[in-house]
Amino acid sequence: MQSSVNTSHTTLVGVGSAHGDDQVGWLVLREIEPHAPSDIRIVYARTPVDVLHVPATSRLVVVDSCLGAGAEGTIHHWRWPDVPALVQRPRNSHDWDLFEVLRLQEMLRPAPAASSTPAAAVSVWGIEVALSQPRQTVAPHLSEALRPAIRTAALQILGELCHA
Amino acid sequence: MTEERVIHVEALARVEGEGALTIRVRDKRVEEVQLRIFEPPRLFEAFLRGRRIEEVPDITARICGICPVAYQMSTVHALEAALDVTVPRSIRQLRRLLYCGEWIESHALHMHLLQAPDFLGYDSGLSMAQDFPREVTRGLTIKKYGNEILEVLGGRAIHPVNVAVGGFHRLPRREELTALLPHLQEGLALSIEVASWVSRLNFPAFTPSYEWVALVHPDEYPMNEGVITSRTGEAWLVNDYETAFEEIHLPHTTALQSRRSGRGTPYFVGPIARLNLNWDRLHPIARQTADGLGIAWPTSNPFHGIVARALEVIHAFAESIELIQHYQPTIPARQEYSLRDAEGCAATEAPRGLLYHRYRINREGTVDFAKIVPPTSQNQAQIEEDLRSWVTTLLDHDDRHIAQQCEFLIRNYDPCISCATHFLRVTIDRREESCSPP
Repeated sequence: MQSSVNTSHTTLVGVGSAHGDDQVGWLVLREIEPHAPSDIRIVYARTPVDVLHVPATSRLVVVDSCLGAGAEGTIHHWRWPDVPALVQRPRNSHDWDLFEVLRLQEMLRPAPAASSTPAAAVSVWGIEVALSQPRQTVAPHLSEALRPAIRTAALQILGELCHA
Repeated sequence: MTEERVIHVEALARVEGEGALTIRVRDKRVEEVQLRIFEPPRLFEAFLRGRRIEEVPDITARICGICPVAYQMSTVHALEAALDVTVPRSIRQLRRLLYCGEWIESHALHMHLLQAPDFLGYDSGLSMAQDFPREVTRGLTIKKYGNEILEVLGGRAIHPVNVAVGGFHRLPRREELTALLPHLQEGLALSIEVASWVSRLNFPAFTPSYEWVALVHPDEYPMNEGVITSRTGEAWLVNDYETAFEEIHLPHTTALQSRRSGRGTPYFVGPIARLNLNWDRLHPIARQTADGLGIAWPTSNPFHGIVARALEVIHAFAESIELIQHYQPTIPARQEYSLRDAEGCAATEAPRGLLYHRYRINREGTVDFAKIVPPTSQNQAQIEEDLRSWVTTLLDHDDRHIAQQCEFLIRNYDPCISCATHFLRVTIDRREESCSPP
């Protein structure tokens, strides 16, 4: 992977953990990190609400695992706020999900560059996972089916970072 | 003619529970109030049977994503009571620090995103954020600083993994904790601002007579230890919890409701009860702040819960700073213990109130029996009593307003079912019936 385009004030956030398929957000970042433009801020987040604490940025790119909008390994790309309602359906009540966080972020801190790049201010990448169902063991390893998707998503996101 | 009004609040499925409310009013009299809570945490008692005691703190932590530390703390103290383990002062202090982190993050979330919108006339934290971005940002910052304590000491912010029977799996290095101090100092200043802000909210005039119940400790604001104490002046050792309080089944709910044994009366646990019964043990910075807020403590107004939480957040920040300043890592991180057939119980103060656990274990090191009584089920009967009185004052209003006000009242208790801002969806069933005179 190579990059040369200046992408100042861009923040790339991976939401994930060190466990099972939930790792995908972090693993995509690890693929991108060695090749990313040097002025991109990279944040490994544990929960969606961590996105609220990302310093002001003109472009925010978030990658997270997702569930229920396609087959395992499917890569989704949405430009906030144009996200299908199905995907925005809240799935937990203990904390805020990613789309609630993005809505809250809009209220609290409109993207500084919204006037110049309104459509690309927030970009969301989701990778469909399978091992997140109740009664399934959270494995320390990643599902094999996700490895190609992680590589593909990393390349696509890197393309966005370098050419947008 | 008899007029009957039935206000239904339909059940909504949530990850951690379901809530529903039915109020039946006949001829301007509240005939029936039923708050139904279906609590998945109950299933954990069965999950625990046969599991190794080392696994229990990590399993019970999964009962709640906001207050996992409370479940871990009650678990390890109950198991340590069974195993006759006494943890050293340094471990005890670290556990208080962990609890402080949880109180901060849990209270901050509740105050800013769940309860404040009720006072300010918004239907959600999101809609409130548009007009109060500074306050919401401040609340989220405070929550983040609480989470940072959990991350460093617990291994992660949600469902921490570092708590062990006998101590911790790993003790933090001193510099890991001191690195938190700048944020904790800032959090203390921010929380004092929050207390001032919430004390200026418009509190409904509603002051029922409550039996407050909380732990009371001779030397400190209660978290992990103490005597269970009532406003009535009665007190019980934790071992006697189940003689003083009983759980009963009611036909309208799958959750058990706690009441005072023998009397069948409800009681009130949570921040207001803690504060009312432990005022002189609150950190001096919190007390000093409270003195300027214009609210007289003890208070019987449940709507003052938001102020009680703000004062507890001040306490938690102030105590966290002191604990870290005096922290020296101890070896070992965990006390050794010998397995045996035994039983032990513990009560700690979760953000929402008293949380009681009892376990029976065997010499193979597995659990034979577990009993968990969360604060929400202890408050459930009191919430129904409150609703009965509260609705009586609202009968001249339309059903929508009554339902809104009921939610407002229920959220004072910060029940787990209100983790989502709008947990109650309301449908109204109006019925009028003509009756022949006798």
